[in-house]
Amino acid sequence: MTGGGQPATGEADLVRRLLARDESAFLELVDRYHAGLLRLVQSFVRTPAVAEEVVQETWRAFIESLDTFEQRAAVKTFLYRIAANQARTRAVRESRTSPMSDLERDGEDSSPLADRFGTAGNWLTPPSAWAAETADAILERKQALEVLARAMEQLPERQRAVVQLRDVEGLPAEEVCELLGVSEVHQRVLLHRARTKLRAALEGHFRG
Amino acid sequence: MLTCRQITELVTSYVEGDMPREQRLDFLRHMKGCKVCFHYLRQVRATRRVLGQAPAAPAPPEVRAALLAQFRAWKPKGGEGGGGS
Repeated sequence: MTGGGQPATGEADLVRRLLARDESAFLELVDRYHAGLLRLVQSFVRTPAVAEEVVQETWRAFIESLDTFEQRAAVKTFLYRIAANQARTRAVRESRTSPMSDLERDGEDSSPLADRFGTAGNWLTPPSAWAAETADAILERKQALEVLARAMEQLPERQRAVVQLRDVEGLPAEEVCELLGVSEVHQRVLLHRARTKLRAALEGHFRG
Repeated sequence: MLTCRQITELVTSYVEGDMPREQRLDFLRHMKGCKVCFHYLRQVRATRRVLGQAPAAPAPPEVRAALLAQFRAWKPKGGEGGGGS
């Protein structure tokens, strides 16, 4: 996993292309980060429409700051910071302040493993074997990836934001805590719940 | 001695690599003797890796078009950059 703070190799070139108004470079960025930005913003604001708006504003702010963009931080980090700030401002305006500090809003949380153990904490129903058990093998199965994407959509918004930023985007934990305004412990809980559910979704898929 | 249930609750802490040393030793001791939990751990790790490597779906066409229009309208302050309209 590469850290989120440092510019990735090839990124200087990407920024150069952006400054030269290379549209394909811009679309490359949009494709790479739009979904992630949306998930981050959705964890702050109330409706998908508002989230879309905030992400659009984020891109506008990004474009406008390109001139002065100093490549001390990775483009990714830079974009996510703009989005978090915009989303927070918007949430305040919507009078939904610091939504991430509100533990109840993490959603119903019955663990998918709740009834899998005996009273002594031993497995009653062990994890079933999957037809594809390695990441490479799973990645070749389109249906499994679709199941995972759907499970992701069904996660409570904060769990989704955390797992998106940590596992999909590969941002370090401290960065994610800062972006979402959550404590390290809370971040860990959200990540744990999300990963547990996503693994269970794959298990459900392979069990058929 | 950790139970299997506890192992599944601690798995994220283990994968994140910041378990206190004592707990980590207990965790590893359990893993050594419990194939089922080891299997579980492997599935959690595979799931996480898949999330990081699955190809991202491109942004919807209307979003791409709208953002591209914004990018085209951008006027770099420095002068240079783009001679057209």
